[in-house]
Amino acid sequence: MRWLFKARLRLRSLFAWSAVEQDIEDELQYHVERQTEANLAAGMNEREARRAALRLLGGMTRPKEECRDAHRASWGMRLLDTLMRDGKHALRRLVHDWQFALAAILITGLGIGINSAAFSAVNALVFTATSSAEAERLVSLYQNVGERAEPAGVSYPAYGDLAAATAAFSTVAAILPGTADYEGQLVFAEYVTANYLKMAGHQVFAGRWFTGDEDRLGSAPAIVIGYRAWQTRFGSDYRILGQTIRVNQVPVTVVGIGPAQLASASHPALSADFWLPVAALNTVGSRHQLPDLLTRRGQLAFEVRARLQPGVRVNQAQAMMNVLGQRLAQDYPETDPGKGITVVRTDSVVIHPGEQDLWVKLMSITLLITVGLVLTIACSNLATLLLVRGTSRAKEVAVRLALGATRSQLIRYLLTESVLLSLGGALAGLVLCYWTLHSIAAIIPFSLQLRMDHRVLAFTFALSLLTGITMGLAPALRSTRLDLLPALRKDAAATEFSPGQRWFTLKNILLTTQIAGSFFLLMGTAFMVRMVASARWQEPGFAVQGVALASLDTHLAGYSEAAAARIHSELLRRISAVPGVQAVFSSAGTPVGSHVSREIELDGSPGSEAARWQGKLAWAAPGYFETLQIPVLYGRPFRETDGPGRPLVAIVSESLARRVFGTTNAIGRRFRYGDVERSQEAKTAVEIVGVVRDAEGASPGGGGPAVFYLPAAQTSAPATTLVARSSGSATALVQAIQRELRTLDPTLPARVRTMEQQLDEDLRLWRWALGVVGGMSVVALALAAIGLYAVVRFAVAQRSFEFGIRVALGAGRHQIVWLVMREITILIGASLVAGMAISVVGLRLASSLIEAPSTVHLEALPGVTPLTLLSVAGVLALAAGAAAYFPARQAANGDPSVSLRQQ
Amino acid sequence: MSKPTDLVQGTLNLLILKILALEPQNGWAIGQRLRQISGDVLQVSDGSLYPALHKLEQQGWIQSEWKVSENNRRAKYYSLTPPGLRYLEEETASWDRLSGAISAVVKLKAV
Repeated sequence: MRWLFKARLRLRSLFAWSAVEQDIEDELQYHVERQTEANLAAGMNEREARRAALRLLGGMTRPKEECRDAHRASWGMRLLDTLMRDGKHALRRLVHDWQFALAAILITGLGIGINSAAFSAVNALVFTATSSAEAERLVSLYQNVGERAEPAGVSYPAYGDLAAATAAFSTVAAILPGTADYEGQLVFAEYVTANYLKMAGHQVFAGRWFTGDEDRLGSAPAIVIGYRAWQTRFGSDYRILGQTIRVNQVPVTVVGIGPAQLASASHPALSADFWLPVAALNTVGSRHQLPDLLTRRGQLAFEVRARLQPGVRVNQAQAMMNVLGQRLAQDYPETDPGKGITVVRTDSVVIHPGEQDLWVKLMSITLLITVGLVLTIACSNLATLLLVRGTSRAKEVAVRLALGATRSQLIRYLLTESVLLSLGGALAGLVLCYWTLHSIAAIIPFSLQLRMDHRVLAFTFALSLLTGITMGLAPALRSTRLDLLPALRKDAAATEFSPGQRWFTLKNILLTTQIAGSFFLLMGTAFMVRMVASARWQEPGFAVQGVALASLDTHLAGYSEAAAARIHSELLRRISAVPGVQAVFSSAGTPVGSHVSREIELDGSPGSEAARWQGKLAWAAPGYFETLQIPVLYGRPFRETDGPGRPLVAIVSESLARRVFGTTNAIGRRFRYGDVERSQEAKTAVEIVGVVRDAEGASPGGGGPAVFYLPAAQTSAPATTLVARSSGSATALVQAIQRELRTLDPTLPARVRTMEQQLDEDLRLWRWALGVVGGMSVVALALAAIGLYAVVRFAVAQRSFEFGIRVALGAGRHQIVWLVMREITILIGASLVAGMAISVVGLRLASSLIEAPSTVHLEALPGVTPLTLLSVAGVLALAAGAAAYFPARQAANGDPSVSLRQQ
Repeated sequence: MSKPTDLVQGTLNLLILKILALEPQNGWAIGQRLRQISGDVLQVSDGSLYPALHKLEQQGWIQSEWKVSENNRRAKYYSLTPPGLRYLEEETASWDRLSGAISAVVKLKAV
């Protein structure tokens, strides 16, 4: 309570010192007047009365000074007082040097702002809390897999078993987070069971949620729009209810608008754009178009959330799940090898416990590296500016030292200045951060809830303090370490920048850091450009030109299996008759992006760990390799005769053949494949009839794709997708397929697109990451150029006297320019060499960290090529050279009589 | 006009708090009051009164407020804060103990 009275006064004497002074003055004045009155009353004359009053007080000056002291009594107050005085002085100096101050504030603002924005993203990912009602009663359920029984997803059949455990849970919901295409944009769609909303404890904003019927396969697809998507994509228009929109080119009916508070199941900072019933997976789902997602126990694709029964604790639920896990292992020994089920409180999970989701990883790596580098560059930029400024103030510093200021006082003052600058930078940074977050929200394919909350503000403030102190310290130490006499005698600054001096100065080190840092960032951008370009425009290993895909959902349209097979073969016949069509096939899954990882082993060698490999399963069909133009190296492609009842066959990629059999020609060899989770007995043995060239699924870590192709007719997977290649354009082919489909069955839900569109879908995330890194490197380049420009400008300004003399003595303009450029050129050269070294090491490290998803086809990564190195070096040298050249030329063009008189 | 002893000087705070405990007062009136109560035994110069007041205020024992004085002018009035009142009670108690002890010693010597 007492501190309250104290604090109020402290603040007052800190920020309203003049008012305090006035108070003391008024108070003493009143005293004198009152005493004078009293003296008059006692019979003194007017002059005497006043003098007596003053005498009794001991004069006005002494009590006044003593009262002031009373206000400054404490240590903290004295320190704050000095800081305030330093601050006021520094502020005046900075306002006077407003150009310097503005440059410094903008530069630090850029660095800090970008870091704050990155922190906001991390902040949102780490700290956003679950929004559900009674969130502490919600648990996440995972089936465990692998040697270490790590929590993974849950298969849809297993979800049914979990939902039946009513002793533990009152409501159990399954969610499959995914992406979808809506009018050419990638949106965030979640496929959920109907009880999801009840489990989360929310109400729809408008319309209705899914009914239990819509969980069943074959029902007409309904969609619920996320609240934020409703605002941003549909203009908050209620008339959208009941209308039909196209998601993944499939018509769906809007039945409701979701609750505003309900976040995405995959992360509380994300919000889903669309919710679709799980049953719509087969119709609307694109990336997850695996024919057996809802039926196979091996597909642990779902997130499962549950609400605990009243009175049941998490550990009790876990005990019940242990029992259930054992029972599942007994009932389904093939698919559930008894690794158990994990129960975790939902609000304690940040991201999926076992999951290393690509985009989280990618985002954090690129963000951390690039953002950190930009800050480093901005900081060294600020330090350079301060240093240059320090040298130009050498005389002022020397005078102060000579007049008795201690070095620590001067350093404190200089630090005050740099902290003021960085605080200004923090303000500018917050503006930039706000703006960045808004544009990020517009760019990224997900509705990530980015906010500038107290944590972001605290982070920004701390970062700016750190920047100000660390970056101010070296220049402050440097500029206060002076030989007094020469500094006073002549401008010390002139010696600092004269040629032929030491090379390892602070200034040079800082400049090198900046240029080398931007070099690395530019290399990173080039690296990512190449990566994306290689996936997109270079030979992906299969045909893209003129290829179109059509995915049909015969299940939804109510076809029997036989009827579905008939319509597929009829469509196949009709499309092959379309003029220009060269090859066509129909198979399960899309040929790109839907491969499933399976374990394979040599037939006949009961699997030791060394005799097992991971392969990617692709469903193929006769015509597959012809259509996609994947060369068959040995053996034969699939034939119509590779059907049910015939010997089981497979075709493998050359990398798989080399890895597993040690030879590319593996014709006649046999292997068995199964699930990651399946036990030995369930594996199916197949004979290799062909080896094809590596086509898809290469990982950037190196090594070709290990893919094995099975004829869809010999697996249980029904045909879903027709692929055709035409000599004409793929767009025309898409139209032709759509035409044929209309005549065959206009009600059949189908999604037709070109192979290029299909590839693009997988690449969008990469493009986005590319944009981030690219933007950062442009910022970094600009910063480095600004820094260089500032340094050269200041250096030139300090040597204007020398230049004046030289010009007066007859030196040509170009000689002056060369004088300046010589030193800078050597510096730039050294920086570029350093930058190259960092890039080669850094990018090698980065490429080992970044793991492409199996759906993105990357050739073994280019890493650092001489061409990229040279072009990046060229760009940087140009930018740096220009930044140095213009001030140098300006100096050379100056009038010597003016510059000589100035000194 | 003997100089006030150190002991008395140190108890100036106590006297001020005591006066303010009776009613809020302005600086001049406090000075008058001091002289009035103690006769002219305690010579407190008006000059040292004000720094003492400001120190007490900084320590949070008293607070001040500008009010219209009895002669219709603006004057700064001091009053006790609640913590100041408690402080006064504690100080009074310890003063009582101290003065009791000292006078006992003084009497002992006089015998």
